[in-house]
Amino acid sequence: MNELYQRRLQRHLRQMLKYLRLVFNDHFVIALMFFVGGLGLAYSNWLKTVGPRDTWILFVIGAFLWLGLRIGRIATLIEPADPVFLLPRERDFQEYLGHAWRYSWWLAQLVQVALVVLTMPLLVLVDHFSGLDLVMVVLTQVLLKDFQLTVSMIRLYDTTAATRQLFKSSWSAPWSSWMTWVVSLLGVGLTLFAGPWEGLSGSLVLAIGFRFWFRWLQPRITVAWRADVKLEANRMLGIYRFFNLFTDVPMVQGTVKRRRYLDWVYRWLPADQRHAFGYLFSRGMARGTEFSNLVARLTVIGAVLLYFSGHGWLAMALDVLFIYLIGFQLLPFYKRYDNIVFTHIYPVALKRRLANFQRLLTVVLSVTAIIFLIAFWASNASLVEVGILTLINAFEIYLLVALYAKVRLA
Amino acid sequence: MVLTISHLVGGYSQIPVLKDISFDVQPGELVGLIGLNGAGKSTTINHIIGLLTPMKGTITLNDVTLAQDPQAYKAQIAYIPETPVLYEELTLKEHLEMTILAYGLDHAAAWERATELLKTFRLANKLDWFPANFSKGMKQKVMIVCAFMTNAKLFIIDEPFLGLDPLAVHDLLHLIATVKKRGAAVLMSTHVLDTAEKACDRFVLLHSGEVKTQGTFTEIKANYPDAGDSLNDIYLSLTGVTRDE
Repeated sequence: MNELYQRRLQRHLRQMLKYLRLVFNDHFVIALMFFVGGLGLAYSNWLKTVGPRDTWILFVIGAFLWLGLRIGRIATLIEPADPVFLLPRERDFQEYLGHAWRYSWWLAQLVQVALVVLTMPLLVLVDHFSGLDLVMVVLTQVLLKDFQLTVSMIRLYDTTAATRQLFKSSWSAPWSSWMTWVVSLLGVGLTLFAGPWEGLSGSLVLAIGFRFWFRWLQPRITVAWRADVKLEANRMLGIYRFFNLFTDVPMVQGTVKRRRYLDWVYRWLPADQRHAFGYLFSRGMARGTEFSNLVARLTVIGAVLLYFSGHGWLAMALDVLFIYLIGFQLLPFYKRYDNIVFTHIYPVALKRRLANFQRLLTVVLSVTAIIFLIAFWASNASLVEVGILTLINAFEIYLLVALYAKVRLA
Repeated sequence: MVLTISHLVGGYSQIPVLKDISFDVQPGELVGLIGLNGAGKSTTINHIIGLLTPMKGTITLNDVTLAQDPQAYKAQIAYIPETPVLYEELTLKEHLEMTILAYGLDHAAAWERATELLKTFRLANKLDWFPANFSKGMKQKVMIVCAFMTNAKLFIIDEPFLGLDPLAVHDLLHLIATVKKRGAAVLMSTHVLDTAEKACDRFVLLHSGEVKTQGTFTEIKANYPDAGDSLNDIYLSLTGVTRDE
C-alpha cells in the first residue's frame, strides 16, 4: 500500500509538473516576475505608512490567516475504480490513507508557514510582536491546520457506527464542517486579540484532542469509499480549474460559447467577399474560449499591474511588454482554420485572408491598449504621459501587425 | 467541357498515387468516380479542388487552371466532403452567410435558394444552432445546403450516400438533376453502386491510380460482356481480376 501511494504520488507530481510548465511558460514567468515585484514594492511602500494605531489591520490579518487555513487538503489520490478493486483490503487501505495524510500534512504546513511569514512585518508594526511571539503565531497556525487536517481525515471515514456506540444515540454527525471553521476562527482571534500564549495553548489542546479522538475512532470506523472518490474528484477539478485560469490545461479543452451579447459588435464589420475571413475570424476569436480567455486574462493582469506600477518608465515598459505578449500569442489563431478544407477552396485570395486577420489583430490590440491607457491614466499619470504612451502603443501595434505578423504568417 | 483532366500524375509525397489519369466532365453531366479504397478517388478530388499540386499533367476548369487564376478557378467549384467539416464557432446561419461572402453571391438570391434548401432538408428551425454539434447526417445536409446555394459550374461530391437518410438521398439526387439542367457538371465519388448506376450518366473506374475503364453504363457493359449485368457485378469482376494478378 505504501508502494501504491508512492507510485500514484509520483504520477500525480509528474502530471502537476506538466501543468506547471504550461502555466509558467516563458512569457508568463516574465509577467509574473513583474507582477510579484510590483506587488512586493507596493506592499513594502504601504508598510511604511502603517503604525500601531491602525488596529483595523489586525482584523485583516485575522481574516487572511483564517481564510488561509482553507489551503491544503488531503490528497488521497483515490481513483474511481478503487472501491471495486481495493474494497477487500479495507485495513490496508487505512495505511494508504496514512501515507496520503503525511504527504498532504507537510505540503499544507509549508503553505501555512509562508502565509504567516507574509503577515509578520504587520504584526510587528501594529501589535509590537517579539521574535518569540512570532514563532508562537507560526506554531498556532500549524496546530490549527493540523486540527483541520485531522477533521478532514476523520471525514474520510464512515464514523456513524462508532459515534452511535459512544453516544448511545442516532446523532451521527458530531462534528460538522462549519464548526471546524468557527473553532479555527476562535484560535486565530485568540492569538491576535488575547495574546500569542493564549492562542497557542488553545490550538494545542484542540490539535491534541482531535488526534486522540481520531486514534480512538480508527479501529472502530470504515473507509467511506464513495464519498472519498467524490472528494478527490472535486479536489482535482479545483486544481485543474486553477491551472486553467493561466493556461489551457489539456484536460479542460477550449470550448465554444455563443456569447449572444457580442452580436451587436459584428454588425459594425464590413460584410463582403473581401472581408469573408474577417467574418469568420471575428466570431471565432470572440466565441472560442481558447484565445478570447487568453486576451482577457492578459489584459486584466496587465491593467492591474499597470495601475500599481506608478506612471514612470516601468509602467510604460509593462504596457509595451503586455501588448507584445498578447499580439504574439494571438498569431497562431491565423492558422486555426487551416485544417478545414473550405478555408482553402473558398475563392478568396490568401492576401485577403491575411489582411482580414491583420485587421482583427489591430482591433483587438487597440482595445487592449485603450484599457491599458485608462489604467495608466487612473494611476495618476499626467495627460502628457498618457499621450506619449498612446503614441508608443500605436507605433508598437503598427510594428506588430504590419511588419511582424506579415513576416511570420505570410 | 467543364472539367478536363489530362495525363495527371500526382499524390501526397514523391511517390505518385495517380499514374497518368485522363478524363473529363461535360456540362449537364453527372460522372461517377468509382474505385476501391485506396484506388485514388480522394487524391483525384484533392487535386481538382486545389489542395494538391499536380506533378505532371493539367487540370482545367472551363479553360482556366489553378495556376493561371486561382480565384476564377476556385469560384467555379462547390465541394461536399465525405466527412462533414464545419467551423466550430459559427452557427448554421453564419455558415450560410460565410458561403455567400466567400463566393461573393448575391445576398437576396442566395438566401432565397438557401431557405428552399433548408426547408427541403428540415433544417429551417435550426438556424441559430452550432452545426458542429449536429449528428453526422445533419452535418452532411449542412454541407449540401452550403454547396448548392452557390452558382458553381462544377460540383464535387465525395461519397454522399453514406450517413444520409433515404429521403435525403432522394432529395440530393433531385438537386443534382436540377443543377445539371442549368448546365453545371457534377463529379461524384461513391461506393453505393446501385444508386450510382441509376443516377450517373457516365462512370470513371479507378484502380491502383489508373483509369481502368470509363464510359456510359452501356459502353462499359459492351466492353466487358462477361462481367455481369449490374454495375456491381462488373465492378466486382474487374477488381476481382486484378486481385488475382
